[in-house]
Amino acid sequence: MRPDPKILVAAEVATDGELVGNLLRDEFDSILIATDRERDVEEFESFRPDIVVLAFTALEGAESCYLGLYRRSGLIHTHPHRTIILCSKEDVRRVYLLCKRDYFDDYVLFWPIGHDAPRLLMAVHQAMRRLARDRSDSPSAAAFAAQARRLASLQEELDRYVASGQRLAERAQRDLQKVAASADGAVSGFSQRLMGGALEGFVEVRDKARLRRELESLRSAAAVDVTGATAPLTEWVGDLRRHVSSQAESVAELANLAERVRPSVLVVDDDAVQHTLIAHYLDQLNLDIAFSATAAGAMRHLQGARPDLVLMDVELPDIDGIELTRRIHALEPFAQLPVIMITGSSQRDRVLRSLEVGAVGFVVKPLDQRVLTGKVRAALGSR
Amino acid sequence: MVTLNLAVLEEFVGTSPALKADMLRTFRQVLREAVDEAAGAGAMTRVDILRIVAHRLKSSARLVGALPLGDICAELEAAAITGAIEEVDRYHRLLISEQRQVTAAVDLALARLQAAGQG
Repeated sequence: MRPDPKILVAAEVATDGELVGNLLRDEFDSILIATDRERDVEEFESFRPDIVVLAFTALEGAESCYLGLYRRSGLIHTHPHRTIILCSKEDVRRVYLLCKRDYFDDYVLFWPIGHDAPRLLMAVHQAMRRLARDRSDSPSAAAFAAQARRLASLQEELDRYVASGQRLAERAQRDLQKVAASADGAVSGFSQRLMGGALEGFVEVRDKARLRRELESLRSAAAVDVTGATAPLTEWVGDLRRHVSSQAESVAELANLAERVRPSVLVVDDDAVQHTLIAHYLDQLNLDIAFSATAAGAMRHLQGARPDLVLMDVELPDIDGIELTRRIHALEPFAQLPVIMITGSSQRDRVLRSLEVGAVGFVVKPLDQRVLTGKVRAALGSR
Repeated sequence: MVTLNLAVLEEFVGTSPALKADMLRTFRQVLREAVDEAAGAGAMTRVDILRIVAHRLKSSARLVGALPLGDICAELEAAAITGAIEEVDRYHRLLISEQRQVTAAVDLALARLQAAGQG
């Protein structure tokens, strides 16, 4: 079947856009050429492209177009898409660095003339394969582990309920014993008063032997089989534990397996030296650490992963870390995702804004290993 | 102030030679890329890019002990924020010059670590 990705070609001038569009039409049908920067957001949000091709002869045009789109659109960060930038030989080194830093996904050497036109088509195919992988519904091991850890708490709940049931059964037994003793005492007292003639004023006993037998019979009838009466409850509590024992073993085993899945942490910081330092500082915590240098890269990472914690630099090159945190928390699956802010200073305004968007803590640069590991441990402890 | 004071780096990562070498190699790469990025910036985005590059380099440089470079980056970032073009140009030139010295100092430190069989 012919693949039909939606491709948005953003260009400075219509002729460049059409040139690229015509190349793509060899294999793809859904192509929109966008040259009006004022309408970029509207066109992106209505077309919802799978792939954005930035067909600007000057790199600055492509940067400015996509960054503007990223900052102004409320949809772009949640809509899975890949970006391909067309560049000239002069810009190739810088474009490479931008792609390496996650600003864009891929580049094609294209200007002033494309000697390798299929290269662009190939880049689109590769982008589609990558999107298909990202869109896969298969849950990650970390997602499984998170659920398994929650399930493990069910076992503790069950133990608590069974213990509570046992206590209630014992209490019911004791209460019934009291009731039985009280009833027996009342019948005995009444018998003694009757037999001893204390009620002669209004009761006349003609046959004491028969009356004694009748009273004994009454006591027997009124006697309560306390053990028998509470046995079903005691047995039910015991049975409950026996009936779920094999499932409980599975839950315990699942929890053990979950403990072997390392918690995952996403570090969003544009400084590779900080990445190395953070990886070293957190080494002892046995974590899976992923790094992203930009807000756009972090959002793409979240389309295919569910980290247990995010360490977020406040100052990112595309949008700031506080705004990115707000956007992440606005997504339902990540509403409760703990985020620790990394900041160059603990300015009051930044702290307040970070708290408003749901940050659970701060670490100040230069990072201190003890402080960082303490905060990461605390945040992961409640995962 | 010396170009590269490894005692500063050791305050952060300890004395592990392998880790020091790892940090220095990463820093050398970051430095090279930052200078490339700044050099390739077009007129329209140049100040913005220099601000981002200076901000990124500032903390990295201070982390590995390249303190004069860190200070130049701080000045460059401040000039870029206020849009003082002459100051931006001046600190950009200083950055390029200091970058050469820092790269040489990092290369030397890495060679020494390697010669000692530790890097």
